[in-house]
Amino acid sequence: MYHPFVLPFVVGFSVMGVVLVARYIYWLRGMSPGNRQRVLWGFFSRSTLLAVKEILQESLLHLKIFRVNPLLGFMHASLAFGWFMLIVGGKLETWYYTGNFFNPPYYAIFFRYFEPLTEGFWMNGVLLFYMELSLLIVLSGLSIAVVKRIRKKVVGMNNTTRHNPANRIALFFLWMVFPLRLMAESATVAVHGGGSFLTTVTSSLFLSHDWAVWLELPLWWAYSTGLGLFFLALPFSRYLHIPTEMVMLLLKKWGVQPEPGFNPEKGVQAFEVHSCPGCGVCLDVCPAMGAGINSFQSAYFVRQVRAGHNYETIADMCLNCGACKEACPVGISLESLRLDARSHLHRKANFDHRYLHGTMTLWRDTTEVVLYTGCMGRINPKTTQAVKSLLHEAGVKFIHLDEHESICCGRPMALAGAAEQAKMLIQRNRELIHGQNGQLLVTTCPICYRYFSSEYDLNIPVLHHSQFLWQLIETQKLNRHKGNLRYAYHDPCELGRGANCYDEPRNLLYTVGELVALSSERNKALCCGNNIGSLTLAEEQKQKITANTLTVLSENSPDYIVTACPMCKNTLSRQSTLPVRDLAEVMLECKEVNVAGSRTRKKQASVNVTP
Amino acid sequence: MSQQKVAIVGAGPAGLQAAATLVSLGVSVEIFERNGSPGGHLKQWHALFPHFQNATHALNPLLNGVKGITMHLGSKVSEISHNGNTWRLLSDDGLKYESDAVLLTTGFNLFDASRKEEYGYGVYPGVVTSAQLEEMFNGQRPWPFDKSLAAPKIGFVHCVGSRDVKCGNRFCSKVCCVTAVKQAIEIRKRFSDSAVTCFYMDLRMYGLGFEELYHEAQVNHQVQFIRGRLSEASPAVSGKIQVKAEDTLMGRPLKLTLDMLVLMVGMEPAVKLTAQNNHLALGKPGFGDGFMADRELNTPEYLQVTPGLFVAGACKGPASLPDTIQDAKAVSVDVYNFLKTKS
Repeated sequence: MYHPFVLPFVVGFSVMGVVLVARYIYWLRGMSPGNRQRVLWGFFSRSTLLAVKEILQESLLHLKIFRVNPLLGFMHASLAFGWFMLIVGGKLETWYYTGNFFNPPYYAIFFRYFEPLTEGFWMNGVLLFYMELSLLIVLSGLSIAVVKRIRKKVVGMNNTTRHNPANRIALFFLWMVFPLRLMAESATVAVHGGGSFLTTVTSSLFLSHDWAVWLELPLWWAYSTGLGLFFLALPFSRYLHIPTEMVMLLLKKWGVQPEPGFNPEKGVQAFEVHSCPGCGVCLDVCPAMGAGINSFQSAYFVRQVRAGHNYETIADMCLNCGACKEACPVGISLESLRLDARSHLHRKANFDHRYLHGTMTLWRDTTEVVLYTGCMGRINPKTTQAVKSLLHEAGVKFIHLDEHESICCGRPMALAGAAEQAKMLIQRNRELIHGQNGQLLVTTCPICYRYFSSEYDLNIPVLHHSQFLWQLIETQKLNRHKGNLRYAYHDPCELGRGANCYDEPRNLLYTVGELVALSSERNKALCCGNNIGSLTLAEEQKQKITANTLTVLSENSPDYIVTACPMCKNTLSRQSTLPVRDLAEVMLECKEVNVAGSRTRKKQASVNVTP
Repeated sequence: MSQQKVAIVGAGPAGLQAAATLVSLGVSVEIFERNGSPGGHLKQWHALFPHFQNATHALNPLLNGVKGITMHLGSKVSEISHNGNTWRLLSDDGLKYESDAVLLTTGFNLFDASRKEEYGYGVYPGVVTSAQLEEMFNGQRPWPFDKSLAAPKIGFVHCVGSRDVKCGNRFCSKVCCVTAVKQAIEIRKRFSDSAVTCFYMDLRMYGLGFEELYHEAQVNHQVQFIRGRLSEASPAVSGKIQVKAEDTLMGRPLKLTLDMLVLMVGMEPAVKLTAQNNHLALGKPGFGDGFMADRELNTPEYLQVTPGLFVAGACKGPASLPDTIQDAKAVSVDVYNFLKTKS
């Protein structure tokens, strides 16, 4: 049960094992005592079973990708699950054949060479068939992968990742491994007979007996070498994701928290960084891609993080729309990873927050609503005015917290990577908000809204104005009739993907008019092309993103483009040929029209309605 | 030579001046103007920099110069085409005209200040544009504050829609700096106790007499010049406007309460030329579309290789009135020489 050709595999496999264990131990040692505790608690709990289920669903079957793109899903599933089937089958074969559960790993992998003629129903009938079926599944996935590299559109992808040399080498060996296995097994079948539906056909197709005798051993050598070299390259290439993703899923299910700060070589963050397969799903969903910018997408960002340099500038160029995080089949916390990566960018900046101590805390009588319009509200006075008019109309008792003075909510600081500075603003703002004695905080800015809800820990609920206005409509404190103006709604990233608020804005627009369908909306909505926390992406590039988004918003010739974020409105309206409004402005304008009586549809020169 | 015909598109100062010059050279001219009356932006203006010359005194000679010339008012030219030696014009109202050469003098549009919502134009009544201020000087528009006010406080914001990448306009509109200085002095003369503050990026006093005017504004009229952009304008009590800015020379934030805020709106091209098959369409410019000197003149497909099409005045780029008139005269000579070689 030994032949020297197994050596390349044994060496490659052993080196991989040593490197993996060393790296994993190093990463795990970086965990805080609290996280270690979580691992211990979680290990013998239901979480482990749930993690195993998820590993089966995502690491092997790739169900998330399957749902989005069946062909791509099949490609990943057949490669991963097919290989898994081969490993399990190999184990069963050797177990059944020898009667021992433990055998050298190479024995299972090169089983057909060592035991070309097995006998019996289980060995020849079932297991042999199963093994060849598994190999066929892997090979079918592999052929799709090859097609994907050459003609990506065939598998429904517009973009594939540009790989660096280490990844290309590993990819080359991975591609070689399974065809070589098929050829080696076919040669053995041609020499000794045996084989099931696949190898009997392939051996008769291209191998005469004489040639097979001559080629059999070199092919097994080649297969072993290819496999060994792939395993050797694995810990140093993107294929490290294969074992790492499984560990990451376990750690996450056990509730392990990322260590504070940016730690690509420490704790759960290290496992996340190295779980990225570079599959390229994040490329197609990135709004910048549509604008021809292909330098800072998540696959490239994570790769730079692994390489350990230049990742800060890449992280800072991204506008944080969250589309990649939403689409990532591995579930990597791309957004927080990116923000943490930015933390070093502004470490030399001298933030002066002495003024915070001079801001008065006002204690007031009980009021229904505390309105906070934020800095973006200041550059969108029409939105602020509209919301206040609507609140007056509905008879809501409110105070405008930042009518004259305001402190930033802190999110721009956090987006720029200055988490500590953001905390100072949070603390001061929280005091101010609590000091108002209100029952509800309403903000017109999704950026503030998301931050208030996630980071502030307030003693009153927070609503975005679209949610509050919808409540007012539902309780009939505000009354509107349906008109026939057509609106295209732009989902702000911070409100949609960021805070999962998709329906209330749409409900409001349904109430007053028609909502046109868009090719990218809800969680696939495109970015407006702006961000308050990243300043390095060139204005021209941002404008390309905006133009691309406006094309989608205009595709069904709406009368208005409507959004619910003052920054989106500001950015879109500068470039749009169609009028851009905030939801509140639309609701206010509809009142005037409703009062005036029937409304007539605005005649448009180029009405091009495609259903 | 037999009398040759030139079609002029646009009856602003450039179009009027070119028409008068060409007629004096013996060329037959017809003018097409989309508005109901000739004169362009000049007819709404009150006084001109740097000598406070009455705008009507500058406009009247231009109008007198085109007496007897056929002018199609309210006629918006939508496309021009070239066939052999003949140019064909087509207007929105179905008018067709054939000529030996075409001169485009389509001028500029003022930047739509509501695109800078943070300055509150169209939201707060006290926020006006520089063009509206001229109408106030003319008595065609009421002042947005009580004129009996003892000491009105008035602010000017320079570069609104100019030198602004976010608005798609990288260029300097050239004339707004000195216009603001001129208008600030006029305000100070009209309201003797007023306080006037100008917020600028840098002052571009390029012409003869401009620097002197700027000096005069500071020394004789106590106009305050603050280097800094306005960050926002917000409502204050009784219709006043509160503005926030940073004095970047002093390095400190600034807060002022004003009775009126004047936005120095820049120039944008009025027309964009687009080549379509064998004709040129005159359309509405989009975001970031520059002036014709930036784009169309450098596009080899037309203009430079299309004999008989000429461009003059502010449609090539921001220009003052004297610049425009001189350019119109110079281009008219080019047109004349072109017609002479053709005949």
